[in-house]
Amino acid sequence: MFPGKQTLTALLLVLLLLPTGRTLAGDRCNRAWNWYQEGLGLSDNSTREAFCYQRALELCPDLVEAYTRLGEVYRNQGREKLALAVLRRGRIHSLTSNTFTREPGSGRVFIQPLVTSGEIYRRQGRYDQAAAEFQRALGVEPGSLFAQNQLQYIYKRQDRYASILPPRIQMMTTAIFARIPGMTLPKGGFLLDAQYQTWIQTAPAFEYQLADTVPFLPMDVPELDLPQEIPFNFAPLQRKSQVNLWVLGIRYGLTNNLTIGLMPKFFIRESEVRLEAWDEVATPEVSGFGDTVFMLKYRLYGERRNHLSIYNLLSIPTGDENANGQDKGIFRWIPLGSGSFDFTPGISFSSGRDPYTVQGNLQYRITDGVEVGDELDANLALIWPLNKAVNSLLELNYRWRGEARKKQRIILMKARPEFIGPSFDPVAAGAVEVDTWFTEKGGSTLFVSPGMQFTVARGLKLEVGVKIPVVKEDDGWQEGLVLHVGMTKTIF
Amino acid sequence: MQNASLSITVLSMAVLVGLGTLVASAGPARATSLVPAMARPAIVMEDNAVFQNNRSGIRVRGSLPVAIRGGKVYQNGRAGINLQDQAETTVSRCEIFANHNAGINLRNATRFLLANSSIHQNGTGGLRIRTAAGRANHTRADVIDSRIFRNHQDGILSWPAGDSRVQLTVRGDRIFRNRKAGIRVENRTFFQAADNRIRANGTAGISSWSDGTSPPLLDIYRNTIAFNRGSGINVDSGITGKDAISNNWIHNNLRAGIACGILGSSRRRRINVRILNNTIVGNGSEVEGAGIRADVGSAVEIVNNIIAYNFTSGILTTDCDDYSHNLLFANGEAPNCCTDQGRIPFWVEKIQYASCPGRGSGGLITDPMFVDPDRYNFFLQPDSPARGAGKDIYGAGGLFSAGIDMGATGGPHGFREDRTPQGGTR
Repeated sequence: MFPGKQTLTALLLVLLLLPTGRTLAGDRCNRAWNWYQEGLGLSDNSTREAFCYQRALELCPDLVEAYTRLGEVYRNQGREKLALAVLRRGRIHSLTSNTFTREPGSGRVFIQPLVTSGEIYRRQGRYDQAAAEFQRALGVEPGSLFAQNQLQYIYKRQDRYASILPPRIQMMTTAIFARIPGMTLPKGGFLLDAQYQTWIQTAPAFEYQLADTVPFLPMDVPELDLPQEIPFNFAPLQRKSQVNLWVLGIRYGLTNNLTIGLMPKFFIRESEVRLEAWDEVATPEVSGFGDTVFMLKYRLYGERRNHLSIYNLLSIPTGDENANGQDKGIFRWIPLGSGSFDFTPGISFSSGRDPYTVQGNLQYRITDGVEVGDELDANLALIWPLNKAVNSLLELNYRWRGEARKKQRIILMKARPEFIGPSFDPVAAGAVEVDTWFTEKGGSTLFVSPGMQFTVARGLKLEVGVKIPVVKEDDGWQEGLVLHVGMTKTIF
Repeated sequence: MQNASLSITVLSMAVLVGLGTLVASAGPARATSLVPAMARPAIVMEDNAVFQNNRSGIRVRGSLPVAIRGGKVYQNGRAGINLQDQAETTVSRCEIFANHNAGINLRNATRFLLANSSIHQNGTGGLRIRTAAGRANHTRADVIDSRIFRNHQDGILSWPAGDSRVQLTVRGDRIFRNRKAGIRVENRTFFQAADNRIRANGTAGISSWSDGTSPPLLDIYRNTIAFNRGSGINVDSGITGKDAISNNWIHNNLRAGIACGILGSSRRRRINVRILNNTIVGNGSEVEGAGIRADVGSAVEIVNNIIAYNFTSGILTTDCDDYSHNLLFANGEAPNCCTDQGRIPFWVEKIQYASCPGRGSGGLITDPMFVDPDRYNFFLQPDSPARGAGKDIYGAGGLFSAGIDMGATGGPHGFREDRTPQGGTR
């Protein structure tokens, strides 16, 4: 069955007209572009200029630039209601046009009706509508400087300060483990911080010295005819302990260049004592306040993003240096403080380099060598903002610690292996306590420490980090992984 | 009407030419006049349409005074009007547009006046002024009451080489939507800009730069400089003259309001600038956004300005000095405060001054009380705290010796209250 003659004629006409129609539309848009250019050539906000854009839009309704410019002309003529209507039409046409999906940079053209509408709302004092338009524009084109500029003004007029600045131009931040930055607090400013850290530390001990006043244990086993005094022999010893530390710090800016701070510490320390004879592990534990640190920091040099300070940390012996714990009959001194005033002079710097910040410090703790040895710390931190609320950090932390003399009590009880003579109860046989001093070996460790900081409210940061030991002395004082959780609140 | 090849040489006679034209004159070069008025023209070209020539529409060489009036010069293959070699030319009531190169190109011209004309949509800028090194004469150019817009490079560019000099006066013009700077002056340009509206240009509104020889001499006052995509005024190198940078409305530029130096650049530059009695509002974006920024190595005195609602901070200086008697408000994250100047939170001060301590003597942090900032009307309300709070920097005992207003309405060049703030159009 063949189509009728009329149908064929109609099909032929449609085929002929399709390309012609496209050509006509293209020709109309070319002429519209000429009208648009003529309007731009006037650029005097005149009725004539408005007519040019109207004519352009009659010929080519998809010419979004003409809507934008016509809206601007109406706005500049004071006809704001009409301008908003034209811009609304422009936005609709821009959505239906496929021009903006295929041409590079088309986003900027697309957002022009939005930002111009927003700007008109601003003039009218309709801040909510203005902010909505600028936010919409930034959703399409985040780099629109005009929308950013207008939006910050709107926010300020509305007292909405929380979201104005991007992170790289906010105030400089402080690293997690290298906690002393080069900046000082502004006069009258407070910084509160709470930290929790936990780690396991091990240290070899050597050179036991028995106190002079303690007699040797008489070996009262007559049937074996043993000598009354025998010398002590100690196997190599390693002290291992789990430390949980809470630090509550408060710092205050006395002047712009002088900051003081007080940092009390609270410890829970648990030592691990392996009892080979009983195949058990005793874990004597102590808890209580440790030494309190008083900080005095002076900024030597400071301009906007580069700061250099010197400081001293005075360790006040508020911790009990005689703290002790017992477990399974095992007694152990686990000092919470050094028992002496220690000084830690240091120098620190911070340098902001958009978008990152570098911070470092170097400090040396001078002690009397009892309970706590001298210590050198060198820290370098790189702080990189990931977005408005999140900082990533990477630190290098080096610590060297000197030897320290520590007090220890050894409890001696009569005992012998079962294959030697008759058995007896060693506890009932009595014990002799021997107070000794031993030397705990120092050592050095280099850590790599990643971390994250989260800004959860104005001036309030939460932070997590971990110190990973990468270079350490096997036979020296060393820490394992150090886990850190903290919170800082800045109050200016 | 087209003529791609015709050129006419005329010696000391008036011509009326409707096509591509070369006007030349013999005779000795004339000394540059210090008098603003132009010499009586020897040649007058009036009411011509000069278009679609392969080379320049009109080319003038030699010192014979020429006046071009009421013409249209457009779509020519090079500059619309090309003025060379001691040319002394007045262009008035002309429209010069869509030429392949600059609208008007001055190369070693002696004297030039542009008045009541439009220069737009030209390929390499609106007005370009260049002089060769070692010239005995200098170029003097005045641009008065004209519109220079939508050109594909700078609206006006002054570029003297070596020890040559350009004296450029731009007054009462509207310079907008050029793809680069509204006005860019370089090297030994003695530049005076007054009563202009410089808006929505692609980079800075006014840019001053030097290649290391002599910096431009700047007097920029009573202009409205707004919505430019760079800084309002960017002084990479420059020294201010007696009028300084004063009494300008500088608002909503997308970088700093006034920037001295380039952030992060270590190149040595010569900046000695006074910034007095400007009203600088709402400048900046995430890229950059202080009201006034003075970078390393620049000597910048900042007095009697009102600086408000700028993106990151009010005054950003590396040395934290040389500012006093400025009113700052709501710059950066610093909120809208403070009524009691004795009890301003330090952190508010610190943000306003970009971490610098102190406000300088006479500094205020409080609402300046603009008439209508939403509509860019930054005149002061009658009870504004900025009224009479400025420092006497215009000479003791004079008319303005006491009670100078801060901001663009204060001092001898100040905008008077009966003038509209020019915020309406872009």
